[in-house]
Amino acid sequence: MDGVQSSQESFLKRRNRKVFLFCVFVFFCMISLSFASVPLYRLFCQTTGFGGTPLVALRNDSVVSEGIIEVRFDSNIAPELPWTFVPRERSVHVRFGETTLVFYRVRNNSSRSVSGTATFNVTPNWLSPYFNKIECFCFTEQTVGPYETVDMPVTFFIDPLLVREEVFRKYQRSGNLPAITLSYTFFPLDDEEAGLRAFLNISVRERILGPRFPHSAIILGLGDIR
Amino acid sequence: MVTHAADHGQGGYPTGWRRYLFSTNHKDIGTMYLIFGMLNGLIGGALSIVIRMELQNPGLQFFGDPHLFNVFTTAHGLIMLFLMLMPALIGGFGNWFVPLMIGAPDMAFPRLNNVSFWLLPPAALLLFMSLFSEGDSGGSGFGGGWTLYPPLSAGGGPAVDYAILSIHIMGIASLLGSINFITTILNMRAPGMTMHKLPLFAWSLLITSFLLLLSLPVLAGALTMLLTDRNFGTTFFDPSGGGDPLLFQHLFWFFGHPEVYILVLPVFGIVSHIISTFSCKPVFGYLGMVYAMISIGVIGFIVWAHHMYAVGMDVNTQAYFITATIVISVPTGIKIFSWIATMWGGSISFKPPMVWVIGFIFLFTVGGVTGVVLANASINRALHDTYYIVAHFHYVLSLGAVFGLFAGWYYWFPKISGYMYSFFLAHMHFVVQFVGVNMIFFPQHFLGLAGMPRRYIDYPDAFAGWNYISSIGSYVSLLGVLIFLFGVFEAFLRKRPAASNPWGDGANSLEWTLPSPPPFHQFETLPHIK
Repeated sequence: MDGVQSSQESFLKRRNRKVFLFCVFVFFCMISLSFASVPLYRLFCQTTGFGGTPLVALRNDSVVSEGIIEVRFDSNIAPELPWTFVPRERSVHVRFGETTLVFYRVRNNSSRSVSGTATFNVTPNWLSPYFNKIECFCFTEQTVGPYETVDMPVTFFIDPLLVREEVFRKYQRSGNLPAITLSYTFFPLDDEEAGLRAFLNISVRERILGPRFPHSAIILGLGDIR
Repeated sequence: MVTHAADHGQGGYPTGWRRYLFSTNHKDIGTMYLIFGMLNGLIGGALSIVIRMELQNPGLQFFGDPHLFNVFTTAHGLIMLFLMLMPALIGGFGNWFVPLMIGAPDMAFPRLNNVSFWLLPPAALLLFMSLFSEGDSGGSGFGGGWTLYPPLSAGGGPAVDYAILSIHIMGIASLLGSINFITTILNMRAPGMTMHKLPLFAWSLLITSFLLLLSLPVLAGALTMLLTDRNFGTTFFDPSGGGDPLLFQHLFWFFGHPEVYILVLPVFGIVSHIISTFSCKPVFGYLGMVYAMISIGVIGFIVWAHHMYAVGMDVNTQAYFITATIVISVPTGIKIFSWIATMWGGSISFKPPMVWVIGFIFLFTVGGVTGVVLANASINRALHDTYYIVAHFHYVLSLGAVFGLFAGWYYWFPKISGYMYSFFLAHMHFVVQFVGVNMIFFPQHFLGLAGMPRRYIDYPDAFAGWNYISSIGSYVSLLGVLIFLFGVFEAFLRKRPAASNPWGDGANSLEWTLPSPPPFHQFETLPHIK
């Protein structure tokens, strides 16, 4: 009787261990998923232009077409950054497919050299998949010397495929095309933090996005999606 | 199991502090969980009374620093969710009655069970330490809300780190507990008890445990990212380094939404048992009830962004989350109607547990209806972060889950303690509590619709009237809690012995076949279920 019971007991123990290990496996799956969501979320936004993330292109292969749209420029600055940051032009009218170069002007109002990075966004959100940047000051960190004034370039084009977009056509029919707003926010960057970030964030991102992306794009985790 | 006990010389049981600190007995651990939950419920309740005292009249009454008010609301939320409801419902009743109901001698991993409980007091200690250390905006304690959104949680002193670590530890405790429940329910059922004969309370705990297992790691991940953002220079949620604070909200609510079902599913289980017991009928549509709970659990994972309509999602995404959210009302409706159908034609006796359960069904339905309202992104835009949402989640949690908790308490107290309580006091507790909580939270619907935002210490004079009534309601419910405590005291004082089954023929789950209180080791020969 004792033998039967203890063999039953060891059988139960084995089964219990199996369920336990299964649960631990599920735990590790979920926790890796939560960390994987960071690059996935970023990748998803960049690939689809979701939520106003403009796309990055290596060059402009598109043909310039008829349509004209207004692009407005917006600038914001984090309060800790002693800079003045304004676009040289408030807005430009561009043809679809036309490569356009504009400048933002930064003036450092302090007596020390300060570094910053800019984040960016395009509204309306549905337009952002068609907004392509070829070169931008926001791809790299920017350092401005004491009381120095710098003009920072942005090169972009609007993908002519925009005319096939359903929302766009609706606006076109109604006769009032919306303007695109390109917005930047500059944040300060201190050296110690930048080093840590390079170590912790970018190495992970580089592994996920792969080495075929241009260096400047890797800095902000932006891959060429074309 | 007899040989097992003999081998380790556990024929009797350890006494004194060893019995509890080293406990591997599911009933002792369950009791500790219940006491722990009750104590924290009193602390969290006291915080809420102070909040209502402050809001009784416009202007600043008791708090010199508005930050402290936010610290109180944050702590109230965290304590009530993680240190009161979860320990009491899952740890307390789950530990006590899952093994009894499925005919098991104990939990599958008794030592793990001990660890799960004893991780909680240090977690509570960390949370209380957080209240007294430097937090955000210079004051002491963390006042950024229980959701810990960055950037509110990105700055500030050690109070935030303490709170995060505290939630981490609670998470580990719950995870170990849920692994234990899953293993126990899958492997240790008595011979003949198939999954489709499993009592509904055990089913609810099984589903709850799976929800915890799937959602808690995501919270753990998000909190770890928050910790490294705060302390090690990463920028997961910091836009200046290319991070996105919205990602935290997504991760948090991927945990947070299942969490509300984690809190309420065990109550669903308890309610099913009580209704069947006091209607003298088996529960209507047993399988429907089981699969309704499973589908609530599954759908609960794909609706998280309905907490975030106001963040600027595009219309299609909102449309999806609206639809998915409203779909949840289908299985929930199945449960409500099955409970009512169980009562229909039954010989109902209005003993205290039944009265509490009927109160639960009413209040939970009110909370569910406002939930369907809030699920609509268009209306939610206006009601987001107003007192309407406060009223909604208190109707489902503070009134729904807590009424279920009290129902379970009055249902199983005779089994746990071996003493019968006074029906008069229990009924009086119900009446006072019912009036009190409705007085607190029903007017908050009006305040929310009128646009009063939550998480503020002060409000315009126009909101004074309903706020006053709401505060009076909180004093009434405080009286209810005092009656409850007196009822417990009276039961232990009078020592009226309870029969092994005090509820009659309707109570036919296995725990009622054992004496009250059950022996230290039960089911030494396993029961056979036909």
